[in-house]
Amino acid sequence: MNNLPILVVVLETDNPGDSLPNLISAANAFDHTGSHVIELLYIGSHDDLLPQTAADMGVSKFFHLETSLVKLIQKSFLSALASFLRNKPALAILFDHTPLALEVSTQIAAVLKTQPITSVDSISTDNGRTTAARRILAGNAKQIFDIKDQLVVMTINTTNFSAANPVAGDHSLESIAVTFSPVEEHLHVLSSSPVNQYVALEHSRVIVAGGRGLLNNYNPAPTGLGLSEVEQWKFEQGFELLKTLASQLNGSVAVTRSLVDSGFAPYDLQVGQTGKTVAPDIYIACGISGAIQHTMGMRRSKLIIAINNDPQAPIFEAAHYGVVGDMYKILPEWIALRK
Amino acid sequence: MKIVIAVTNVIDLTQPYKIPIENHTPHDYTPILNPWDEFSLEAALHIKEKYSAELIALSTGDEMAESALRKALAMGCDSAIRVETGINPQESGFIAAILAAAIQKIGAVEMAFCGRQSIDFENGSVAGMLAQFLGWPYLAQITTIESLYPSKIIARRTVANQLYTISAQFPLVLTASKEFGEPRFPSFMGTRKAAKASIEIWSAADLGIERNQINQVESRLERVSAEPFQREMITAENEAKTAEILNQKVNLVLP
Ligand SMILES: Cc1cc2nc3c(=O)[nH]c(=O)nc-3n(C[C@H](O)[C@H](O)[C@H](O)COP(=O)(O)OP(=O)(O)OC[C@H]3O[C@@H](n4cnc5c(N)ncnc54)[C@H](O)[C@@H]3O)c2cc1C
Ligand SMILES: Nc1ncnc2c1ncn2[C@@H]1O[C@H](COP(=O)(O)O)[C@@H](O)[C@H]1O
Repeated sequence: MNNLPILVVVLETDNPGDSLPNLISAANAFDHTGSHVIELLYIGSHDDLLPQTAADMGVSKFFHLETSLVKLIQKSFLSALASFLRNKPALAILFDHTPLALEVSTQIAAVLKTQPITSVDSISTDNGRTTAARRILAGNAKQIFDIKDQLVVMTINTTNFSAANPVAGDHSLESIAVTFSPVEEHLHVLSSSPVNQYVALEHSRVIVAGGRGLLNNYNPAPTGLGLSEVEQWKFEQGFELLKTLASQLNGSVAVTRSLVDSGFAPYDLQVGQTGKTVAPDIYIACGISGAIQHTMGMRRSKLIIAINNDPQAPIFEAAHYGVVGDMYKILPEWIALRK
Repeated sequence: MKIVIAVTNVIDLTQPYKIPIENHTPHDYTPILNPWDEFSLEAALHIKEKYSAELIALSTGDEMAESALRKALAMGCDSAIRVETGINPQESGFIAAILAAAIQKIGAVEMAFCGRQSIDFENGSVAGMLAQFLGWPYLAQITTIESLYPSKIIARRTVANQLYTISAQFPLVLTASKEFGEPRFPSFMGTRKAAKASIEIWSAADLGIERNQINQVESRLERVSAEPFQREMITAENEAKTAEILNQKVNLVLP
């Protein structure tokens, strides 16, 4: 392999303060001899801490393409980024596998005429040969790429890489501003507002998830409610239990598609094939049958606990610990224990 | 207003299928229309119903691809085009180049929708590459359309827990999130009409697209056998005891 730098590109919306050490560890995996230097390009508004973090991790150059958050969303920087990268020798360009960075990486790959490798789970070097692997087909297969001398563009699943350790010794870092002239804007942000108070599921270490079983609540609903109000009440009671346990465990809540489709929960919380893919340390599935479209999105959680009143429910096949029982009886006991 | 929706078949992962370690044939799996394409079809149909539009479904691949196009027709698309390539294209860059050339040939297209990603190979690359090849802006994962004008669309999307309202000039490439609602089930009449509809066939060579315009990185597939998995059913005399055991298990892992 050539000795060109590995370039890590992070966007302000990637939450780089948290993910940078993991991205650096992905970059380090390209070789164990340290013959590749690692450089960082940061796109976003001024950040005091990032250059220091980068220097501690052994990054040699810090490029900054300064832009406001609004311009970042508008991708106003794209042509500047493209011309920067066209002139920047590199062995690999690594992005975080976040939605916006994924978009940018595929657009950049088209500019650089290379096939993007998205959602990389592992990188390893053996006898000087570097490979990158990603899971496909609901986790049943691995696609393994041979990294040779040609430039590759990747997005990295940062949760699969442990944070790099700070390097000893010299921490000097060369800071270089990347300037760009205004371009004609095709996208304009008109307004923005925060979505909700939920923690981003992808970053949660603990997830308490609920399914249609939430609606099977034996507690009597207040009298005088209509049929759909009773369902709504039942859902809310169950959702409250999930949220309480989740907050006791410093985690967040998720749901199945059936609760989203029936209008009870927002799509942001859906886990599965057509929702989010998560891999927390602990995933607690309550009243979830375990359809493959759901388990696809959570099967890589490190510890899976399932509570379901049907002993035949397929979720038990996917769980480390299973409990046959009523979530409305077990969760309140559990919550009481952690009070 | 002309809207193109790029559609493709994927492996139905809930049905038995062979992992395509060597060259796979469509007989080894059940093809279904990519669920993310159903979402973008739903978004496009929503535009058609509210503002009127001509919807063109576009796919590149062999005859197998026609079932995806027929489903798009059955859902409500006005016409369908298949671009024949000889071999089934697998590389996103090649697919995007074909789609870009076809969209240019169709002409006067305001919006091109793609699915967010294929649920089988999960690349999520075609939409961005298509936008770049066309030189159009790319607005991903829109959740709602606020309004539509002759020259622009105002839509919403979320990025990092912020909801943005964005105005985008035509032409552009889009992907749609799920919030447009459950993708509709084709009606009986729609399915019958779609079965009889004729699908226009173009060839990639006629579009001037050759392979290898994009550098490929060599790859191979490996089967992943399910990791040995310790499963344990917890039984206790009552719910309180069960909760206690679960709590202990969780405490062992909690940071
Ligand atoms: C193209 C496509 C994409 C899809 N994508 C997704 C996706 O991204 N995510 C997703 O989740 N689904 C997805 N689905 C839907 C999926 O197939 C299932 O229909 C869905 O996951 C079922 O949700 P559920 O487990 O909540 O409901 P159900 O299947 O109805 O299961 C409810 C479970 O709760 C149990 N239960 C009932 N009462 C109680 C109680 N009091 N205590 C404990 N347990 C109880 C029942 O025994 C049952 O097992 C998709 C489907 C398709 C076709
Ligand atoms: N052969 C194809 N023909 C038409 N559109 C395609 C094809 N392959 C992929 N696409 C589009 O690209 C989207 C994402 O695919 P991918 O980048 O492969 O995950 C799909 O949902 C389709 O909209």
